[in-house]
Amino acid sequence: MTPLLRLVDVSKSFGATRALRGVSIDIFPGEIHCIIGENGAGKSTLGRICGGFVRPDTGSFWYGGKEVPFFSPEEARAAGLAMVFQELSLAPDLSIQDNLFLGAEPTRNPLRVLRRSRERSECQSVLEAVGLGRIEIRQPVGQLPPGQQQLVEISKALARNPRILVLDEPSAMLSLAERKHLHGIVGELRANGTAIVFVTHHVSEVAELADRVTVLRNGALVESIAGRQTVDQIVERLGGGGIPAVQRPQRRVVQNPDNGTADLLSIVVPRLNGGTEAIRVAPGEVVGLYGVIGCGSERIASIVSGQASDAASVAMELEGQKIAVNTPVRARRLGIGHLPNGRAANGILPTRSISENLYLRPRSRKQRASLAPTGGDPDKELSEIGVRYGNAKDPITSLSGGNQQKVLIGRLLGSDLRLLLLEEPTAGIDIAAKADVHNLLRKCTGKGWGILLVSSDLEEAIALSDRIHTMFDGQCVRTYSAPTTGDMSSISADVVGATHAKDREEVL
Amino acid sequence: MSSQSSINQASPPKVRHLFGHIGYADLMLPLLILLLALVAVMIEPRFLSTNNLLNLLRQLTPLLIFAAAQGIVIMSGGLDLSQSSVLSVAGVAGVLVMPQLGIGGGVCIMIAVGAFCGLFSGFVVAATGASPLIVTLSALSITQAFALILANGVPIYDVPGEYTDLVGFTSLAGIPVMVLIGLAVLACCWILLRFTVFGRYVYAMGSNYSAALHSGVDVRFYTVLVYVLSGTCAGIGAVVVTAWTSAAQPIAAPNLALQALASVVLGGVALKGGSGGMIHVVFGVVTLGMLSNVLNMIGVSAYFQTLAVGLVILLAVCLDRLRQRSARR
Repeated sequence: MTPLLRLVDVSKSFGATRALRGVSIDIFPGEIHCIIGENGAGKSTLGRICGGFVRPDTGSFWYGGKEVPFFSPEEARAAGLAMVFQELSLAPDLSIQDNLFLGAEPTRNPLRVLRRSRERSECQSVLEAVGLGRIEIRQPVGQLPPGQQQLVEISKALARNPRILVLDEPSAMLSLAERKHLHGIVGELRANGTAIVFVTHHVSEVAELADRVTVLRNGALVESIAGRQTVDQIVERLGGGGIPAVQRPQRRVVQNPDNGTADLLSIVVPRLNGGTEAIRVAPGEVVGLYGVIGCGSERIASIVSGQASDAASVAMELEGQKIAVNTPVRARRLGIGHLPNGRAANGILPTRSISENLYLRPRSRKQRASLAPTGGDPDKELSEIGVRYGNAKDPITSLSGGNQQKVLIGRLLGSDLRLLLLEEPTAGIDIAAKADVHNLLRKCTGKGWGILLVSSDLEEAIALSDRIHTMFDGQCVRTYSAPTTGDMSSISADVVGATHAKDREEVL
Repeated sequence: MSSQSSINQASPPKVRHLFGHIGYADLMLPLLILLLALVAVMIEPRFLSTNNLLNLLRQLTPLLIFAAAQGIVIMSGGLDLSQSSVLSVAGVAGVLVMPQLGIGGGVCIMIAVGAFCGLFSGFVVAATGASPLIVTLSALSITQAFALILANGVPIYDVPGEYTDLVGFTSLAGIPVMVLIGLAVLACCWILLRFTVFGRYVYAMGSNYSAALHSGVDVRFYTVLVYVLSGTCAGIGAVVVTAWTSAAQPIAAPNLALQALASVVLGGVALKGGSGGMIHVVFGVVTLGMLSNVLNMIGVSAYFQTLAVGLVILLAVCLDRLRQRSARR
């Protein structure tokens, strides 16, 4: 059988990051092809290349047995390729019906008058297929809960009768029942000869669905295997052997949680398979939250940093006092410093100087009295945190990513804080800068600050943390005290739901 | 904490669709209109006379035409500040050629000039992705300059009498022709929004531009179309205004574009785009028009009228924020 779509030796870089290196995959009609890998393994990029939304740097592209240039989004659509995006491609103010046919209206007359009644009947039948048969199709999509929005997004792809359907993390937002339904639909499509590319990091789904599994790690192909696999077989390949041993830095002062000192922070989250788990951070401690995108650690971060509107619904204590942090300003007054994810979008002021970026922090009473634009001696502070720079008045963008990140951490260091919330503190920076950042963080814990670390870099989480909580599906899976590299495969299995899947198998 | 629990909570079924796009916050304007009408009738019983109402409608027509177009531009996530000066240049150009090309030719030129100006703005916005605020601000200056140059800086009073009679003062079935023109523009915009692919794309682009792009909507083409529509309406506005005032002013109705913007927002069209309808535009225009009509009747000085209009717009913006916040909950 010839593959319907074929990518050969495809590579793609975004800036300095190599998202894909020489990956080849074959996609056959009537097959479910699962692509699995951890965060940053290049899964989504691969999916987007198929859909024409990303153009690779090198490699060749075959469609229907012929080599063709890489698709543009229009060509991909014309070839019968439909994509379900991780970030939904729905217009929130438009009704379900309007969204379903957006860009593919069944009308050909010159004035392009909408044919609503025809749309309505098609819409009903597609929605029935995904289990939304009784939904009111005239309500705006933005009013639906996230899971249903995801189902609408899937219906939108189905309404185009695709020959190839690419689903990028389709079940991240879905409940178990909805997931089952989705699996049923995908199975039907397969029976009708549709080729399905299923990008996911849920092992259980792969074990349940896949006719062919492609495992990616760090942008490279680990293996492409035909035939159904068990959870264990997949996990073995995911974490398999290739992880380099990490030089373990000297342990930090580990405080005994039973020595009577109140925890700096305690936040209660549900535990997988029932019960709750308290995530506690004591002074001088680093606590890591590890999981794949959508696992719920982002939400914990938004609650602790005061960015969640419903923070009061979560049991959170600060030094033993029940507290709801409802604004970032309040978080800062309580002594919580936040290093957000996404340096370029949420961290730096790209048009301003290094020193202005450094001093973008609340001023002390004394500093407020002075009219000086910055709060002190930038050169002294910058050299203390080890930033390599020319002049403090240079724009921040003249620095490398690693040095920019150090400035952002320096911004926090200059304030009087108790707890640091760090999201991906070393994302996209080189190894030397990473080590510098880790040293800065150890300086913080030395001062008695607690650190809550949200990182999708497992080696980093292990190297820094006194405790790691693995997260999956908004729940805490397991807690590892004093984690070592030996825990890696177990941690990797936790966050892709393998623990979950096995427990379920046992129950069944 | 669990994201699971929030997913499983099904939202209660909404009955709002029965009323189309109208929510409770939108009912405030009709009430305000009624209140204004009541006040007007109490002060001046003749307010409800056919004559006065027709006169009110006539006064509202240019604003209605502008607001209908501005409404569509805003719903698509854009903004057109150049409407007034496009009206000026279209009016001057049309009146200048009227002696040679006749009334029909002049009207065609006005509409064509308007459409061309819109094409220009739309093309720049779509091709460069620049902010429509800046692009239409520059278009405002450019078209204003052309109007002044063409007219030599002075109003042109050389407007054929048949033209002003026909458009400005004739009535069909008791309704003035210019009011009919305004209603026709309104109806066209309503049909476009409600029943065509164009309307759906307008909302989609305003609601989530990248979603529209990813869904296969030719966003550039439809952006250009939106501004062409706005320019065309400014051209139609020129027909109405030149006929009504029997002159082509190089700086005609300078405040009209801002008033249109104000009435669109006042009516309840979200400034961020993606929602609202022609019904909101009508509410906004009627409220603003009635307000100045009633203030005139009470004898409030023009200065205080300006103040009142400003306060009402401020109120509208606050309402807009309130609506967005309640929508997010």
